[in-house]
Amino acid sequence: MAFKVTIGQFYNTKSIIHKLDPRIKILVSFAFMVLVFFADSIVLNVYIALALLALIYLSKVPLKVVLKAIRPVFFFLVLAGLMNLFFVQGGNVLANLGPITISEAGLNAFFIYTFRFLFLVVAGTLVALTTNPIQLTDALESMLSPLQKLGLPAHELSMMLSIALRFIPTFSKEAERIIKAQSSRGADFESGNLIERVKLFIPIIVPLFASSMRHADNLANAMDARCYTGGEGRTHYRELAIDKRDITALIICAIYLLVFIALKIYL
Amino acid sequence: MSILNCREINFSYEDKERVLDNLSLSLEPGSYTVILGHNGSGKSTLARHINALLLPDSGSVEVFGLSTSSEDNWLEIRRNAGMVFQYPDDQMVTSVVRDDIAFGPENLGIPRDEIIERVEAAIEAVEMQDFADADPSDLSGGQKQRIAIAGILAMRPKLIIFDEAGAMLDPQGRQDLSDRMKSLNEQGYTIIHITHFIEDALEASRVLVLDEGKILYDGSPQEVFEHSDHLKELGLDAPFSINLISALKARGIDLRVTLGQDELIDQLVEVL
Amino acid sequence: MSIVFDQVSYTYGPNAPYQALNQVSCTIELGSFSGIIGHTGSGKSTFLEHINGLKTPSSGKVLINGLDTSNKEDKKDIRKLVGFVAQNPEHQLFAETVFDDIAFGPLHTGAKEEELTSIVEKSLRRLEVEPTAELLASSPFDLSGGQQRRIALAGILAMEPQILAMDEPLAGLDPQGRQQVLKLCQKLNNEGITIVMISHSMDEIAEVADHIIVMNKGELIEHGRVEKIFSEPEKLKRLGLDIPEASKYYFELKKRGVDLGDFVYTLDQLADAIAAYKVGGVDGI
Repeated sequence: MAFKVTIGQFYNTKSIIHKLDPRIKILVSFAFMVLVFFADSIVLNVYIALALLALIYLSKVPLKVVLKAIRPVFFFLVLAGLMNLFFVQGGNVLANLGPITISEAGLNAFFIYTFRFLFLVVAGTLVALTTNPIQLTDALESMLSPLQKLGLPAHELSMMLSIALRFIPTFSKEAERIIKAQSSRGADFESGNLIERVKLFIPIIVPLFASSMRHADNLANAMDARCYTGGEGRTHYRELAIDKRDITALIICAIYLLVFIALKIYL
Repeated sequence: MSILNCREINFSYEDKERVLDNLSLSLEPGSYTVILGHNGSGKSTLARHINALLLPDSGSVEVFGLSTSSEDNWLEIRRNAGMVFQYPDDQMVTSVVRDDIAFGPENLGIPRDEIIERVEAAIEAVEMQDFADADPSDLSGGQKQRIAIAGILAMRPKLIIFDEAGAMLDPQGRQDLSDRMKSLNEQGYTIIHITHFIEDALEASRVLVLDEGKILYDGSPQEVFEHSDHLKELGLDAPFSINLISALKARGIDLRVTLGQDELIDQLVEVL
Repeated sequence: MSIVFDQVSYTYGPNAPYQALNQVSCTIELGSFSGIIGHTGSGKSTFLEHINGLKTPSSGKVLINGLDTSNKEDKKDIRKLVGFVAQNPEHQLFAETVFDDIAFGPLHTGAKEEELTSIVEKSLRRLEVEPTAELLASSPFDLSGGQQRRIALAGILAMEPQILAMDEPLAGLDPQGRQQVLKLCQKLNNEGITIVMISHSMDEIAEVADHIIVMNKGELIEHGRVEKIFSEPEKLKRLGLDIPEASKYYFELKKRGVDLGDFVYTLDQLADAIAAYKVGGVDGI
């Protein structure tokens, strides 16, 4: 399927990671992403990889699902890696393939950058896989609410995110239907030159746009009918609360960080 | 005392022709009313007036004694007059069933403990316990409409308006929806069902036929279907029994007008 | 010359919990009007999408007039041969004018520019729509829902298909619209177009179809003439499917001692049979 979308794909199961407060997960994953940029040796990279593998194990999300979720960025991963391999020069020359020279530094960069990118994507994907979209938006609203005083519409932003996530499957189904209908009318999406293919976007985009207008209109009515008037005076069905489990997780993360720093300094 | 009072309402979208034409209507609490009409007869426009999604150009709409003309009344009106729409997909706000049902009570500022209570009660009322944590986009159209009903029930309304809520469902889904309306009505909810499926009208205690923004007929199903020839001219169907009676009349067999299959069979056995 | 399904199975990926189609074999004769009935999830939409190669079998073969839908070279010819009418076909309208939208299909299947006007006008006329200059130049988005559906149908007819695969072409229309579109389908079938149509309404199928395909859980349960399928209500009931109203009266009357003779499934047949019974009993009894 051409329009399979994996953003915000939640893997519904029960695990320690699923149960963590989403705010903790978002914070830790951000901190982790920063940490990845300081991992410049093989030992540190292995240390990072081990943490991710442990998290995947604890999350009870099958490795296959994780790999499937990161597949869309795989191409860029390989491309970035190869660029490093071919263009970074320094140290001993390892191989000479015509105009291309592969050096020690290049090989080193290839590994470090490829894995660095991979780690970032996996960390982000793990949050999405283990947090249902509602919790994600609630967490965002809660984390942004201090900025509400500065005029940032935290509630509206998170509501938009929630609705966007909610409608992804709807639109991907719709796009699939439209493609089927137009290809039944002889539109060939598989061959043809670039200009022909770009032209064929119009018969897909226009109906898709028309349908999103229809959905938006209906949704607005349905929300009005259910007494939606914005964030003010709204109560919350889900309550975000930091409990013992979250504290333990934070302590483990702190220890992990200390070990990382120690490894960085002494190795 | 009636719970809905429309007095001589007129309405048109922008500068186009009138969609509602001097329409007056009142409804008794606990009633089950079906509003019939072909596409463009004004029936959905009327529905949107009942919970203040639209306001009349002239005339007045009072719901539970509150006028829709005052914006301060809207929340109270919408809380009391819930609405289930045609497209199951477009009523789901979030991607978990429970949270979607909680959306209305959250908007009303209900305390959290009570929301939890209401959500569970609503899920049970529509028998969707097995799907409480599902993603609505994985559900069938009929199941989505049950979630939509639960979302309305969680606001604890007195009146529920179904605006062509069965139009996108298969026959089973439609039957399920219609059974649910009947049972909600028995539990004391006032029901308004806007539809163009004639079978739906047989369940109602009162049937209104709308055409060009006017109420053409108003009465029991039996009374309204006396005019089935006219209804057909208006682009509405008639129940099969009525169609059979007129087909037999054309073949020289005269029968009394009855709506149900059993009564008609009785008559036929007698005559033959 | 026919539509042939030979041991067709279809699976959504290796981890799918069930087969969308399981060993389906059947032959649909050209010129016939077949109704496909079955529950949501019975595989009827998947079946329909195999007819014009939108889906190709995981195993088995679908042959349209001898052309294999799995064969890439045949795909273009099959798409010309089979018009596919999706649910709510009006949702695929996209062009700035009615003319351009209807001309989209022919343009992509090799029609010449100078032929377009006559093709567009002809397809509208076949749907009993007068192709006025005003209509052709108007935006399809400004039309009413019923009109939009006709324009979308015209866009499919413009490819001059010999077969129409239709997925609930009446869904969402009001009774008048349903009757009109149903009549048009019948007219197109009379003109020689083979129609395969999914519908939830047994009464509508009874009115227009001559054959019925019954699907359940990806399997083809039965395929036969309308009068045969509807005369066995127990079989259908087991699958949660209904029979036409007229047939219900037929069986109920039979139970009450009124045997109308030959099985009936439409209103007119029922009324005729009752009238005949009243005049002199059946078959001289």
